[in-house]
Amino acid sequence: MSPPVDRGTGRIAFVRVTPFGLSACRRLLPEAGGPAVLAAHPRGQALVLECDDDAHEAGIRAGMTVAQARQRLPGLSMLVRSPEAEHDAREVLRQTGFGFSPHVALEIPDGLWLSIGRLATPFMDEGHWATRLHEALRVRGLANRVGVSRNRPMALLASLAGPGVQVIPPGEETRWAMAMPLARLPLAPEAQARLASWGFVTLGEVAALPPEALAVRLGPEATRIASFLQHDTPSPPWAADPVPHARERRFRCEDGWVVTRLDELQAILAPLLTDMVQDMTRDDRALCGLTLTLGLEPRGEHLEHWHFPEPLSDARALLAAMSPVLERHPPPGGVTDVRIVAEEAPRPWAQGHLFTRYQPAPAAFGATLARLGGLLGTQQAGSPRPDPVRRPGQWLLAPFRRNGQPVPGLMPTATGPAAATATPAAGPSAMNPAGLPASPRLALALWRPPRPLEVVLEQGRPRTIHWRQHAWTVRQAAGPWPREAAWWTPDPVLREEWDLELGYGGLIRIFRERTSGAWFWDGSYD
Amino acid sequence: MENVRTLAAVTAHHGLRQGSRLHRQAGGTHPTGFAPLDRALDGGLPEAGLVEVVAPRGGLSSFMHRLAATRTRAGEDAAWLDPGCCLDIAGLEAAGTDLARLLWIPAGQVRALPALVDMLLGSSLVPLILLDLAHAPRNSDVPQGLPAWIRLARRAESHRVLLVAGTRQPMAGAAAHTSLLLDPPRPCWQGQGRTPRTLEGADLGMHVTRRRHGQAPGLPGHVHLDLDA
Repeated sequence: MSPPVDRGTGRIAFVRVTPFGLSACRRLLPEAGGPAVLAAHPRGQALVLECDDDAHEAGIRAGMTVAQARQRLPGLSMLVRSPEAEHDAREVLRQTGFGFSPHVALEIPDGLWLSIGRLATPFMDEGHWATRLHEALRVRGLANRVGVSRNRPMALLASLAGPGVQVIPPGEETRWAMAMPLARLPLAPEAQARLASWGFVTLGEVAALPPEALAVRLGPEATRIASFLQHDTPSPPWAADPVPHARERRFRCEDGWVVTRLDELQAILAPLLTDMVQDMTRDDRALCGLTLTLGLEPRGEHLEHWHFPEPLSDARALLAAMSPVLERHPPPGGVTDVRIVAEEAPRPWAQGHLFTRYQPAPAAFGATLARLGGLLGTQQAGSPRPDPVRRPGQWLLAPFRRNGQPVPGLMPTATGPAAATATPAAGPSAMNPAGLPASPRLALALWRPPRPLEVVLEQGRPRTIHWRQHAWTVRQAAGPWPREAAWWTPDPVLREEWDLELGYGGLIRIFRERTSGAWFWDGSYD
Repeated sequence: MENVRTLAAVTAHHGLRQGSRLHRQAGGTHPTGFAPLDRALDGGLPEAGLVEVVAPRGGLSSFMHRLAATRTRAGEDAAWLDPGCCLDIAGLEAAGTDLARLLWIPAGQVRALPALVDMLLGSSLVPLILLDLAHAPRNSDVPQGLPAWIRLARRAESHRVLLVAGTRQPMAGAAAHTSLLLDPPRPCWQGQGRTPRTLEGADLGMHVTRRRHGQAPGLPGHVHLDLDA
């Protein structure tokens, strides 16, 4: 068997969560401190599947019964294996990996490959990168080991070498592999014992043996040892980076407890949101949307969704935006289960200038808009646009962005007529170079909706108008000015408009609907 | 002394400014877009603080449309709080406003309008807030009493925001940095006899009734408002 030759070109990292099943359960039960084992009940007897370092030091091994393990370590905690927890842990592993590399691939059951490529820069070497990855997973409750090398087998070996982070520098692979203790390789116990009985200690010593002779004596384990020394291995099946990311937090009420009050629900949501936002901030991500699913007693779900025009990383602002909606649309029953799923976006940033006016940071900008949405309730705020078909008094609302920036990938919210894409504001035709008309315009303050009027005509022109208990004589009248809009739709605007100067000096615009003949007060020149 | 002269010459030649003068420059003025008024106000409205525009019988919308157009075209964002939901969007665009820079808040059903204003001021979200109280519904929760207005004025000053409050009657009093009074627009008609009459525009009179600094209040003059057909 020949030693590995450095022929690879890329750099790759392997993360192994160990012990995986135990870590997956422990991250959901952080209160289960101290030595612990993961157990299962295959034949009605609780057997140890995995144990942590403390339990291992006390002599506990996989395959023991839990009773035997507790005899050796009376204060031992026992966690029951949970496939759901392991699935969640793999998802956390994958999502965290995407925060560090665009190419990741899960290695079932307990590992993750990450392509490093050119991620390492003069400002952050591989060691620093790998340490950050190790820490990011550790704070998420996944005890892990990280190995970095030129190819997959060597990265795998590096992850087996010891706790924490092991980086094999380029050109050091052969020397490093040869010195790898056999005891750290994941071989069958019989193979380990046989190699030890032959007096072999390191991988280099075994690599010097004839492969055929080793295969005859060790069987499939010889192939496994050879796999550690391969240097041309295909790339893992890299997974596509899901866009947008989705993170999830859950809270399940204990048996019999049902949340019936909004303040209780807020008390549950606050730590979930805080944890989620902190988690995202660590990955330099922010929250652009949120879906809240409330499981109801005895069955059913209540769903709410929020979308934020500016990505947010402020849990209090999130709660401020959510609470009014929940007040207006409370869940129709007691809540037993809370689930929040976040849509992610890159964290916004902006460069300020010393000599320009202060502007809030993007995160604060988004938080203010979210709070504004919470205060406004059913009303909406945004950047207005005239109705594309020019229906009088109608409008569209587009998300408000700082400095009039366009909104990438976002459709405007329509609050007037049917939704349509907002177009950029077009300047009026007769403008000075600054974009302003040379002289100010007489503006109109509109009534929404227009107020019904009674109009007395004289020779086809308005003479007196009556509105509620008021009656005004018309001093001057100009019209009728026909207006047609959206005539191709089922709800066209067909009206005749009049400009009136009333006896008391008021200047108003009224119109008569051509279809119904009814008169309306459209607004006042103001 | 020679060094000082040399430094002055170098800075003047290269267009450099002393840092100590930046503060004075920062406290500049906002042109309103009405030339007579800007002249009377030494350049326009203050950069930050409370300005009250009292329009007992109209003229407020025209004033605020022009102000919004002037400031957004100058590259600043603005917020328009509209409790009456009476803003004419097409008219605002025709007045020259860059609508992409405008945050319109049709806050008709908002229970706590003062809280909304307070939050906008405190966040420094936009440097200009236009608050149209003249068209607010009668049951609106508008800031009441001098202490409330003083608080808003101080908050606006401390956060470098200009709050322009349009009202039907004086409300802010001494809290306002500048107070303006608008005369009712006087319509200008065209056409006589058998010629069809058309509304050509209106004349708007403006008075400066209060000013914290600068020259004494007075009547800057009238401006003519066009009405496009």
